[in-house]
Amino acid sequence: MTSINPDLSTALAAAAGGPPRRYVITGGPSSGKDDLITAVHNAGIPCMVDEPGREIYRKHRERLGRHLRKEDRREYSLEVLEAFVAEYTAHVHGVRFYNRGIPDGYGWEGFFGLKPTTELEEATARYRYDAIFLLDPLDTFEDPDDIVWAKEREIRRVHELVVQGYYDAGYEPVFVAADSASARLDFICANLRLPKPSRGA
Amino acid sequence: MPTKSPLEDEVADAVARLMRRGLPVTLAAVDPVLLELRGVLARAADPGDEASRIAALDGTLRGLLARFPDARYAAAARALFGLPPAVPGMNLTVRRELAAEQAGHEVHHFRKRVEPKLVTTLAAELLADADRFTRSPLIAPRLAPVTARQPVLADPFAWEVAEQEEQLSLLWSAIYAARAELLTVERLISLHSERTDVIRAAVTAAWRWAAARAEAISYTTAFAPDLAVHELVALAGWTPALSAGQTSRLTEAAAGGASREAFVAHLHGETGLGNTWTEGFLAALPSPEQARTVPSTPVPPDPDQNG
Repeated sequence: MTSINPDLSTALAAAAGGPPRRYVITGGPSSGKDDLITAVHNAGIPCMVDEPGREIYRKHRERLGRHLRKEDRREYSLEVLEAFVAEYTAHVHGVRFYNRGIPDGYGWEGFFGLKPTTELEEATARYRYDAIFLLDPLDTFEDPDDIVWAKEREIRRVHELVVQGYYDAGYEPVFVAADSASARLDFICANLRLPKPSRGA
Repeated sequence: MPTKSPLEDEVADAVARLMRRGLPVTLAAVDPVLLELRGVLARAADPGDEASRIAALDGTLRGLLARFPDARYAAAARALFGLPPAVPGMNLTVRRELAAEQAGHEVHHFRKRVEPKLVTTLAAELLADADRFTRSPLIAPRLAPVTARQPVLADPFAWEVAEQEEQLSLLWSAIYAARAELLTVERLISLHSERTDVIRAAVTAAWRWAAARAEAISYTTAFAPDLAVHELVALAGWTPALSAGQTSRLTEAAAGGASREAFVAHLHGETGLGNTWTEGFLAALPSPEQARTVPSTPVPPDPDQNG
C-alpha cells in the first residue's frame, strides 16, 4: 500500500483546476501494468479504474459463444475505441492516468493482422495524450529454455506491436524498466515533475 | 565455435550506413535487408508498402535505442542515431561529438573504438527482435517442466493468446494421435498381422486422421488463415490418396470430437471410401514379397462392426 504523499496531494490539487493532463500507462501482458495502476490509485492520483477492453471482450465472446475471429474483431475494436474516447473526453481538468490509451488499438489490430480503422486513425489524431509510459515486460525470454510455450513469445510480440503503435501515432514513449510498482510510479512521477509517492511515509 | 551468419554482417553494415543519416529512417538511407526483417514486416501496417515498412523500421529502431542494453553507452547510442540529445537534421560529425560527450570519450577514440561496437549491438538487437517475430507454426510447441502455477492475466491479449494456445495444444495432440495410429497400421502390415487387425487399425487411423484434419481446419480458421490444412495434417504421416469428396466425408464424420463408434456409424455404407483407405495401405507395400499378401477380394467393413 503506497501512502499518500502530502506534497503530491498538494501538486495534484493545484493542477486540478487547470487544463487536463493525460498520461497513459501501457504495455503488453506480463508488464506489471495492473500492479502499477493499483499503486497509482493508492497514491491518490486520479486514474482510470478498469481497462474497458476486458468487459467488452467478455461480452463479445459470450455473444458469439466462441473465440473472436478476424471478421469479428472490427466490431469489437470499434466498441473498445468508443469506450476509450469516452474516457478521454470525460476528463476536463487536472492530472489523470489512463490504463492503456487510444493508440493501443494499433497494437491490437496489428496482432490480428488487421489494418488500423479510419476511426482509430481519426481518434488518434484528435485525442492526444501528454505522455506515454510504456512498461517493459517483467519477464525477459532471452533464455530459450524460458520459452515454455508460444504464449510467451506471442505476449512479447503483442508488447512490441503496442510500442510500434505509439510510434506510428507520433508519440515518443517513455520506457519504464521492470521494477516494483512503487519504484515505477516514483520514476513516472519524477518524469512528470510530480513529487514521488514513496516520499509520503 | 559459432560463426557470424552473413545476415548478421549484412544487418550490421546496413545499420552503419543508416547511422550516417540518422533517424528518422528515409528511403534514401535504408538498405532493403533492414526492411525485410521479420520484426519490421510484422509491425508494418501494410507490409507490402515500402513507406509502411520504413515507418515500422523507424519505430523499431527508436524502441530498441530507447531500451539499449548497454546502460553505459545508451545515451551515446541514441545521440549517434539522432535521438535526443541530438535533434533531427544534425550531421554525423555533430552527432558523433554529442555521442562522445555522452560516453565521456574523446571523439577520435569514440569513433574508432566505441562506435563500431554500438552499431554491432544495435544490429544484434534488431536480429533478436526479428527472432521474436519468427514463428514456426509447423513445429509442435516445445514443453518444459512448469514449476509454478502460471495464471492467465486478466487481459484481453492474454485471454486471446491463452485460447490460441489451447487450440494449438488440441491441434498437436490430434496430429500426434493420428501419427500413432498411422504408425500402428504400418507396423502391423510389416509384421504380416491378421488382416482383420490391420483393417481395424486402419479404421482407427482414419478416425484419428480425420479428427486431426477437423482440428487443423478449426485452428487455421480461427487463428492461422495463412497455414494450409493439408500441410499440417501431412505431418501425421503418409495416408492413401483420397478424393476431395472422400476427405470431406471423413472429416465430417470425425468433427466435433466424435467417438470412433460414431465415426464408423456415420460412414456406414461408404464402402468405396473404406476400400480406398484400407486398400491404399495394403497395396502400398514396399517389396514384392509383401505385395503377395495384398488381398484381391474386396475389403470388408471395420471388423468391430461385425459383432
